[in-house]
Amino acid sequence: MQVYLPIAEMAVSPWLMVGLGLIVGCLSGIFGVGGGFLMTPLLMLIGIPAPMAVAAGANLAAASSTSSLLGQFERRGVDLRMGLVISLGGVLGVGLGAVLFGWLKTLGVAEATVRIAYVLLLGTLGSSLIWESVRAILRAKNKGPAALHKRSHDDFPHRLPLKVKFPRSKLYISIIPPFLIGLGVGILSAIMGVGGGFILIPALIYIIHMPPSLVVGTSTLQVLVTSCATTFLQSVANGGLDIVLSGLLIVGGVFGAQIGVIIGRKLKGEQLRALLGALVLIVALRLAADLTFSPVSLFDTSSPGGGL
Amino acid sequence: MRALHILMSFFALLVPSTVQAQTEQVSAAVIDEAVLVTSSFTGAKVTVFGSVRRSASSRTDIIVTVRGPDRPAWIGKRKRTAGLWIGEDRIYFAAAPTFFGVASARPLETIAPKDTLSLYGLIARGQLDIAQKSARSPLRQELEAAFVAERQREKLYVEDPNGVRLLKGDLFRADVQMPDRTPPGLYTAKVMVFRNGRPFQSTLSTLVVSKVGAERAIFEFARDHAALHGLLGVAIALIAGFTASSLFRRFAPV
Repeated sequence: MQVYLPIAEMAVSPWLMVGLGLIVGCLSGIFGVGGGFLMTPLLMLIGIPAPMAVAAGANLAAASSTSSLLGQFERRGVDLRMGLVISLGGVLGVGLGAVLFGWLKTLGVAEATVRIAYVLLLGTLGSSLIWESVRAILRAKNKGPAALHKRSHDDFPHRLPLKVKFPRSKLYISIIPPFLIGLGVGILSAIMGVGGGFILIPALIYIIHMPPSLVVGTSTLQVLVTSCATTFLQSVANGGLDIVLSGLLIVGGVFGAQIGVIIGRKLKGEQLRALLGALVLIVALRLAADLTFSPVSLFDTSSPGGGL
Repeated sequence: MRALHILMSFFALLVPSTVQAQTEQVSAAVIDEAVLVTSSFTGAKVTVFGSVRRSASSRTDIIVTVRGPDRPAWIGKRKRTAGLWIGEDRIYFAAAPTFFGVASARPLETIAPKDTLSLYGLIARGQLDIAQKSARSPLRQELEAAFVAERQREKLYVEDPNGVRLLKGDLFRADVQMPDRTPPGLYTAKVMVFRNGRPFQSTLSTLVVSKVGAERAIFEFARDHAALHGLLGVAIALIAGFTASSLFRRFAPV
């Protein structure tokens, strides 16, 4: 059976779409990421034009993050105040990033620099996440109780001005670092076309020193805000939203997200970090492969359609 | 139902061809003049029936083309800078056929010389209208060929050397298969008759591919109310997320 997509103007298998939504939604439930880095290339592989793949991925991320966020809220796994500060930075970052992207394109070489820097950033991030969590797992095995999460009270988030209380995280830190992190993730996501949840999580762990139990939920909140904004903007700016396509993805995605939340709850903090590290490393390797290996198709062409 | 259609069109064709046989030697009609794109659309077959007077002394060939609306298009070739694949070189077409299907009873190149075929619009590559800014591009030849190859891979440009079947008497039937990705719009079906490799006569007919029902309603809504459509997408996401979460809470408490 095939279903015709009215905006993308092609027929797809609905079961395949629901299945893809389920898998990506599950990942987003486990890690608190949007999954755009997986969804967009997968949809493009099927032949869906790039802007429509981005819009559908964002719409799916909005649905699955709503689904998992409600689950996280119930278990008090979200720092609402922190999430909103980061989201505010994120939305501003997306706007800023769009402008920056236009400017970078005119430079040519700069695009290469950004891409390489991104691969290096993700590569180091992924491997350090894995390394650190494997060590923690080994330590836990040898000595019994794991070392407590180190929480400094004298690092730069504590020393900068504009200090705010984040009661849920039990933090009293400057508002500037979380805002800047949101801004940075927003800029990167506008330039690279992926949500950036997988950068946000390590940043929350290592820079903000949030309690591990709150990291996934808070990141999910940021994903929700960013993906809603992206869905809306893609629909208005280039008519890229195909409701039939994203509806099919969402049907799978919202249930996948719930399953993901259940799986995530069963994983220990360091296991979760090791898996996230692996995921980040896979993304980095894929981007590196895109840059170095000969592309599957040397050519890239416009899509035919658009009409009644 | 289909058989009845075919039978009726046979009669429709036979009547004028006997009356006008002296002046008009080829006549043809598209069986379905409206192709409806519904939610189960996976492509459609365009069938053209017709009759042509075959002479005993010369070789008669029939070529049928079905052509979709022309649209601007582009193609890019990924390029390698300092060992890394970054960016691409593009050429733009002011207009290119969205769908271009050619049916014949034997390979085109055995019917007529290539320049003749191209002149009469029977070769896809000859129908690409390059944009002014790309006209002088050094990659033009390579990218034009690649564009046609890409569209052939997508089944949007098709060449079927078995697409025309000669039936009893002077009748023929041509089938051109359109894929699901063929865009809606006004299509032209052209029947060209060649005698001994020379163009002899042609007829034109049209057909319309259009979205109907829900497909049309969604498309029109998205086009006319982009902001509302975006909000609807967000609302669907939020409602679906909420529903799934409460379903899980009720049936799968952990």
